[in-house]
Amino acid sequence: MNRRTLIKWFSRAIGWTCACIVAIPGIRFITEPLRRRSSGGGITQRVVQLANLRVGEPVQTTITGSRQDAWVRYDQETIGRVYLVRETDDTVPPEQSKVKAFTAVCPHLGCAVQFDAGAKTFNCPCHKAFFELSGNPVSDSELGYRNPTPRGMDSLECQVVQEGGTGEWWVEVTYEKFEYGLTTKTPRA
Amino acid sequence: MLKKFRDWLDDRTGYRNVVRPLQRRVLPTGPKWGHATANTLLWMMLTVVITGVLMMASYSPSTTSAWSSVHYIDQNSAGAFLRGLHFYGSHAMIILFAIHTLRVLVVAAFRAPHEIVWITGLLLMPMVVVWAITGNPLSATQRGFSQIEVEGNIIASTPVIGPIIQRLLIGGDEVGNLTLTHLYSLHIFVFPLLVGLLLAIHLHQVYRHGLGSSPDDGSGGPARPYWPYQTVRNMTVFGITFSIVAVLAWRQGAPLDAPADPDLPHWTRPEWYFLFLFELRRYFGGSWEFIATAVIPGVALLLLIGMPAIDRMASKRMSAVFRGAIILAGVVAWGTLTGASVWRDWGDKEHQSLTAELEGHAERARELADRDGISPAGAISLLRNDSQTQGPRLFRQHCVSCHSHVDTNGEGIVAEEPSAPNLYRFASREWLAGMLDPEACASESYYGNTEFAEGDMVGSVQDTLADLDDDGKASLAQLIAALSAEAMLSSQAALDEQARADGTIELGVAAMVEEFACIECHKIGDEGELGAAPDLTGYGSADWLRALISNPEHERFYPDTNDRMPAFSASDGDSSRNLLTEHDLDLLIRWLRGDGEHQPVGATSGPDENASTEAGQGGRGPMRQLPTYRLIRTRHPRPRLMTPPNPSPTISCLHRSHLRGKLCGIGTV
Repeated sequence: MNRRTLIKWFSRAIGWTCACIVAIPGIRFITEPLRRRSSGGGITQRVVQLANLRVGEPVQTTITGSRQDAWVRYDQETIGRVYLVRETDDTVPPEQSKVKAFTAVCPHLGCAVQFDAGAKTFNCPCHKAFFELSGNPVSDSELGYRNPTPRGMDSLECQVVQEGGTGEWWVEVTYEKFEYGLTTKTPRA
Repeated sequence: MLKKFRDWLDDRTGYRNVVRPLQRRVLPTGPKWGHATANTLLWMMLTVVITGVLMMASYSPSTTSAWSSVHYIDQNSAGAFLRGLHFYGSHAMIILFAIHTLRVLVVAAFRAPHEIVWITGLLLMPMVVVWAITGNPLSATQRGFSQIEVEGNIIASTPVIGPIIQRLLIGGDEVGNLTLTHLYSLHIFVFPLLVGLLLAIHLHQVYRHGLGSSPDDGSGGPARPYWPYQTVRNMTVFGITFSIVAVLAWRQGAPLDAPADPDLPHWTRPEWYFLFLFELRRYFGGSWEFIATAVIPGVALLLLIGMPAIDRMASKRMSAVFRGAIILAGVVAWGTLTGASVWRDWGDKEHQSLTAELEGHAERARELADRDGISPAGAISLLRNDSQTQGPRLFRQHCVSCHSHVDTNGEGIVAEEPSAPNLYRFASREWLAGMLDPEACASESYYGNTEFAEGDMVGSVQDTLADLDDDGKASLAQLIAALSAEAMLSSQAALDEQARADGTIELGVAAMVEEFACIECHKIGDEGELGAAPDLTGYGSADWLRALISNPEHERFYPDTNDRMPAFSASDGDSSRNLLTEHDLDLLIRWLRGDGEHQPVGATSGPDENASTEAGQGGRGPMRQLPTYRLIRTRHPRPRLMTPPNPSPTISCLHRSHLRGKLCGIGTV
């Protein structure tokens, strides 16, 4: 190796080293969102009293919590919306009554699902997905076109519990977020 | 394969015609270390531009979010490093630019045909400096905002056009959102564009006419190709410079001062490279200041621009002398003025304490932001709602004319003429022990300089507590424990708990009622009457303090015997008529009591906790055991907290209940 080749390599080495010292942290910095885990999963909250739910009349409630939006911290914000569907009426004792909970976002592409009280269906205005009260997609034949949703509405863990002090019966929901567009319900990582 | 692609590309674009001559460039007088500064400057500029573009991905220019977003960049270690590279890189650029210009002047590289290289270079210099300066306020720090405010006023001192430019730059009368968006667009678009254009002309001219080393400076060697003989010199100098910048960025990081807040003192120094102007300005008073800030630098720049013409007219010898004189004058003037400014600050105690105060604020703001996050109101609320920051400020503003707040080592806020009790650890056991001490009671730490020095309280302390036997001393200690427990100081929570459990407090209350007959003048609980002396119920608690400070002449305190204390918040509900707002009062009380704000579990901060209580008894034990919160976290839309007696943290807890929940959940359940 002659002197000329040596100093060529020496120059290149310095240049590339400096470039890497900028590039590696640069890539790390802008890819930070990929490494940040979303804090979506598993917030359990009492959302509504059982007495306020009627069979066949879904009620939308909000899940509140704190939310970190990059550099801003929001305390007690709405972090999700939930539909509650009561399935048993007052003849069933509260501890045995059944309530279903669905996240109010469409599993297709994440638009907000609305309840149509007349047709007793949940519908998503974005791509006209329809769901029955049970959360299942309305069949294509009934709809007259291909229901765009890949799966039914995402059910959430939900139970009826008694509040210690007052003896009131409350509906308790564990809120989670799920991936969109998949045929199976997959919790978001 | 690659060869084929290159051939295709060359066939379509003809790029080899552009690149080849660059690659095969030959330096007629050989490579020189001196050429390396310019090249290093170029690479450094590239580094600064790249890191700047990367930071743009996470920066938000508004008064509520700028500081927070910069702090957010800093929270990521890679981001903090990039910001450091950007910051120190820009300083390195300015130094390199100065060296580069001096060198060109020394070797007279501005001579024909390099006039345009020289002029564009000279214009680039102030442009790069201003480019750097537009970046400083973007983090919306107290320092940055103070600087742009002053810079705006300097611009405004230029006759006629100054005020117009200032208004356009600041975006109105006051530094705010528009200032940030204006500076941001200048910093990331306008200046890069202008600098880029000038630089393109500059480099094109260098390429066209060759590097401007005149053959007559005697250092010419045999002709050599640029690559790699000059490149290796460039890369070595750049490598060294870059290493210094990178080490500073890694070890030191770019500074981030306290979030801008008009309530904080102003920062009054420019960046180091402008200190000379700052100093020069001192010698031109009033409306003549623009001579220092605009005329003198402008004339100097014009003189330099005229150098090629002057050089041509003068003889070689004269030109060398002239250039030498300019360099010497420039370096000496800059050095002397900068030195004088630094020297002045060196001896200026006030400036130093201000600097230290602002640095303390900066550290505290970052600490709070890391701990609690930043609310949507923005970073300004970090320190505004921090009793540790605002307490001393409010105390200095409203209380220090009579009260001191000084620990046993004499550290703290000292009243020049103390004429009321020292409030350091007010209502704590050791404070009460002093007040009930026959000698200390009449000292200036307590009632010495008040009307009460001759009053019943001092009299009865001196009469009845002077010669206590051992039983009496024990009763007095119980009394102190009981009275101090009324304050519910968080720093004494453990001691109070213990005293409550072992019956000390019960005995102490009994001692107040019977043995020492405090209730002859004072009311405590259901015993005694109001009117003659302050109510001892809840003595020193947040509510008690709030009521006392609001109106000392309330019947609970000194209805007839108030010495001089003003009513700070007498009119309820109309804070505009009060000396202290509710919010300020709350902060002051929190600070006096050492409550802190959202004290996380296990935190050891808090200014007042190191004073040992009843030496030995507490020992190194749980000096600051925080109240144990129990959180019903998963059962209710709004997590509810159950707290033990100390009421004040509850408020803050509810405020941040969610965060609290996590912390408490880990810490105590």
